Amino acid sequence: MSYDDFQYQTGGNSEGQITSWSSVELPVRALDSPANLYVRLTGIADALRGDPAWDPDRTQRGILSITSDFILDIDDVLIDSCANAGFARIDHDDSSGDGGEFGMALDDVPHVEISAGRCSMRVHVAFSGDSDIKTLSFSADLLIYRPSLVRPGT
Amino acid sequence: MPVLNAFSNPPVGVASPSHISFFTGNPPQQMQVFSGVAVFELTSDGGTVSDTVEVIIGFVRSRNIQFTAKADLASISNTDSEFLFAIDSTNIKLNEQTGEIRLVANIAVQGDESALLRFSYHAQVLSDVVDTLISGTIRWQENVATPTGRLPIFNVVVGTFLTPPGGVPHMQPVASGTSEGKAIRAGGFWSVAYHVDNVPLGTSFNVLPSVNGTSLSNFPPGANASSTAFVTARSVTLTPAMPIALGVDFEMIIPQGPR
Repeated sequence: MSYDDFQYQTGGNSEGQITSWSSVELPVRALDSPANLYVRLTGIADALRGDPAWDPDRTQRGILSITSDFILDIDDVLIDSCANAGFARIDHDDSSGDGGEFGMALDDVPHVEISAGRCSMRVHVAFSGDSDIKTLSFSADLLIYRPSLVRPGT
Repeated sequence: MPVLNAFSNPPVGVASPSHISFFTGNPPQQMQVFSGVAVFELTSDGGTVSDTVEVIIGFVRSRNIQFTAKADLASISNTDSEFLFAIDSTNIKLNEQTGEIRLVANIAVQGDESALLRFSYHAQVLSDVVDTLISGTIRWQENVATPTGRLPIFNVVVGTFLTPPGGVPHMQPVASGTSEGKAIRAGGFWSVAYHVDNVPLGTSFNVLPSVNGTSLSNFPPGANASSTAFVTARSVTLTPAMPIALGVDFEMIIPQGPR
């Protein structure tokens, strides 16, 4: 399935594009990796901007990228992750006459990464008819190796 | 509604399933986090239609669990009518015999026509540890050695040192394990995890890593795998109240002095 119709970048909890931002960090241990930190991030992110153009005969599919502020250490290594997204605010307008039929989807969350202290996740989204995914709620659970937390022999 | 399976390979009816596992607390408990997007089809051509979706998300060894579970609407459609889309409840169901964990969601849809096609889910399951094991990280500075790609990088033996009369001390092992996977390079160090299962309770044991054959190269001039030492020497006692020891970490060094 192609997600080439549109792409939106949502960056920065301090820039107002991500609200209800929260995060927790917890020292942990894992058996199959040197992971030593669990980080959970949650928030509500702006999704499609403005009033997206729509076609009554076509489903449009695209990518929404959500990037946090600098909330991790520069040399953190992402070992594994879980990510999740759901509708937070959706809108449907049937005043145009032929936009009554609609559909909206968050198909999957195929990618999570950390880079230079920021966490990014990619969400595949789709809509049809005169509808709009205004915001989505998201969470990311990160299993991280942070070298500065290692203290051998203690 | 058929049972969906995030744990099978390939997954059945679940998009982008993911899972992480770690230990936290003292005594340690295992936390597992599961997420994904359940894919199904529940339709209505007028009245409210309700159903239950079950997703196999994973397994636990313990039967004593705590959990959280949530689900969010992720795909809906409607053909120009009044509508309703609902996730009315979520729960976690544990199979006491197999340890299988299922996320259970009660959903509903109404419209002429409406379809509820996906929900995204997130679950956390905290469980007691039922195995005995010792686990930690072995790290070494980048200039000490380089992984060759051969795995495992380290063998780890748990046991007691015996010294026969007039002889040299040698390790009497009671359990053994290896490092897990490839080493990670960060902060000027290489690091890799290890664990040793089935360590007997109630006795103080030494933990002794060693390099596995040719898994490392590029030692400093005059040094090789047998030149390495692991600091700090550790002894560990597991008990019924604390059957798992985490954070038994080592640093591999090349001791100074004549070689």
